[in-house]
Amino acid sequence: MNEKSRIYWQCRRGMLELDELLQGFLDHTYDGLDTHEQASFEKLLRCHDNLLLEYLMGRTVPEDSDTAHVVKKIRESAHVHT
Amino acid sequence: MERRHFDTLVIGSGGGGLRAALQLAQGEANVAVVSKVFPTRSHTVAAQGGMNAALANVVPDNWHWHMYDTVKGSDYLGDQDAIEYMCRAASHLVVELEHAGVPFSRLPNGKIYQRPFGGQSQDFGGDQAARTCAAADRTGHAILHTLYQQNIHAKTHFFDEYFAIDLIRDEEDFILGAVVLNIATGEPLLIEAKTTLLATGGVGQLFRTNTNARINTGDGMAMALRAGIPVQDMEFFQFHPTGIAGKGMLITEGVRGEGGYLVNKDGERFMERYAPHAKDLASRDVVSRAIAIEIREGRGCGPDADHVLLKLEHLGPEVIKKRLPGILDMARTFANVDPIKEPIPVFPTAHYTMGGIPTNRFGQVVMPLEHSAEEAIPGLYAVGECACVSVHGANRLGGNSLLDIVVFGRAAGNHIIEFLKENRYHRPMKDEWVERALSRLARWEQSGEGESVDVLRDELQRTMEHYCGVFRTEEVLAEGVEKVKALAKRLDAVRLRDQSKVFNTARIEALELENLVSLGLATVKSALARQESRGAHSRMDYPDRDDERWMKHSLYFEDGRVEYKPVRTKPMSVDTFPPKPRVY
Ligand SMILES: Cc1cc2nc3c(=O)[nH]c(=O)nc-3n(C[C@H](O)[C@H](O)[C@H](O)COP(=O)(O)OP(=O)(O)OC[C@H]3O[C@@H](n4cnc5c(N)ncnc54)[C@H](O)[C@@H]3O)c2cc1C
Repeated sequence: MNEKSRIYWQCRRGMLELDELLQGFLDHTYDGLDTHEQASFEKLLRCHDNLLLEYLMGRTVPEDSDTAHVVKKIRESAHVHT
Repeated sequence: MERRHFDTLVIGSGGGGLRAALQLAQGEANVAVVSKVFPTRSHTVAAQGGMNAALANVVPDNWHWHMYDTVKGSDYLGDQDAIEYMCRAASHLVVELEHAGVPFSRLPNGKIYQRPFGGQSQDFGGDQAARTCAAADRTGHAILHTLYQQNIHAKTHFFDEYFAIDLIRDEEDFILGAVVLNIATGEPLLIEAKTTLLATGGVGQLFRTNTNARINTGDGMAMALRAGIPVQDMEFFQFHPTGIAGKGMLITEGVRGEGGYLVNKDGERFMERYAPHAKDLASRDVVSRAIAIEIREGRGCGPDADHVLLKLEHLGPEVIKKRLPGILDMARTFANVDPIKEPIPVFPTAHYTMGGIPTNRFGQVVMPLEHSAEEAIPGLYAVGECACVSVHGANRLGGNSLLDIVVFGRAAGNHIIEFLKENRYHRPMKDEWVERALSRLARWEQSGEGESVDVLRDELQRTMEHYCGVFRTEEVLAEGVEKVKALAKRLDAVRLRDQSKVFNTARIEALELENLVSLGLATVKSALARQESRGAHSRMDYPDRDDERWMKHSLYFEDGRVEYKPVRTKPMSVDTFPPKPRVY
């Protein structure tokens, strides 16, 4: 529970767009990820806000394939849950 | 409880807090900065447009014209001494940021590029000026990261992911620091400081549809209220007409500039009725109000008739892809519509808090005490969106708030350095003052069945949007006051299911909700009291500005009182700009 709360707090960002996408993903999709994907998500959260926005809005594709995979999942999750 | 001692405690690490901390750390003060999220995740990071300064790099310009525009933009509620100070300091601060490493975009001749923004003029209301300096579309990000790095270098002490609960105020009204909560461990910490600076940002989360990050819950303003300090001009909240309905993200004016327009459920281009000439390009408040009226009168779209539509399909895919690429991503991601084929559902979105903790141009928090309406609370400062200095008055101009935070962040830093020279020792601390702050935490240890934080916050945001949004009348606001009071009562019945300590984010959200409720009441009560329309506060039943009765600042106190104090109309060195009708 508190491990997830810790990640939840890392999803609190400086931009509404990020809050919406990251918290939505955490609520709807995160629990269904495998541990490797969960680790990639946590790694993604360490990016600074502007880069995260670039990734999540599809303006830049991350070079690292694990990160790219989790970004794709977040974008898909946003479409299903909007 | 653990205690730490610092010369200065800065609460908030957005641009305002970090600029002040930097001034202090470079001035050899021992500074702590507390932030509830990692510093570079502060809301300043979201500012894309830029920062104003009359550098005159593109067209002729000077600080006095900038001052005129800001006074006029404020609808004559701005304090002219503070506005003069800010506009005069602007160019120097941009250059300073540039030297510190902010990569401002450039002109071919190497000078800093400047773009034109609404409300900017040359020669006191003449041709359009170009006054906004930007680091591409990431100005806030660049400023925040640069200031953070400089602070690390200057050895500012950071408490990341600590949540400030309450200020400590002694019997002589000195502020002695604050009780903060380590979010990771759930343990409180007392930070004793000779001076405390609030830089906690705005309170966009008061409204259901808003553009702000979720951290913007106005904590510093609510802390000030609980310490007996009023909040000023809370009725002035800037709304942007086109936010994504139900979500809040901003759809820029550029869309309407390119030929997009708004329609109601009958497909009518309703702005033609409200502003026959400017139509969809009328000023923000006019468009916002028109949307609210359409919806109130039953012409909203969607199953709940709760939004209108922004059409841009007619522009064709080429124009949209070329000129409005950002809007494509935004609409697809957050509204699930493809603007090439279908319109975007929109609703006015709360954007900027003009009101806040009353300060003077040195950043000192001021309030009516024995001798005057503006006596400084010793040891307490506030800057940025949580403060009301007041440079934005009833309406902020785009690009002026990044300027506000760096100008007054630095000014507060300088004043604190002087204060510290005369106040060299920590004042005695009494347990009972600390207990008061801790009791706020203890309240959340009550367990059992009760209401939920999420439900109450949602109701508060909907209530504020409906009763204190862009459509305001006596009747609507009076009902709003009763509704928010009822919510405040229900707050007592809220219980937390999770009583653990480590990373108990539910508890943090409960503390934020308390802050939101008290600021909701402040806002709706101040709005009910002000019987005129000025800047962002527009009353259908009092459609005109009334300088005779209302050219004054409101001060809302925790006990529900609303008092007033005069606007500072006398600038520092130039002549006063007397009130004129605000027409563009
Ligand atoms: C989408 C958007 C775009 C904008 N674009 C522009 C623009 O182009 N130009 C412009 O001039 N302005 C712009 N603004 C406005 C501007 O970004 C803000 O007014 C400004 O950044 C506020 O800075 P600040 O330092 O006062 O507070 P913030 O940057 O909001 O920082 C507040 C800090 O306080 C901390 N905090 C809050 N509560 C607590 C607590 N209880 N305990 C501990 N820490 C706490 C937070 O963690 C954070 O560090 C924009 C605003 C939005 C919403």
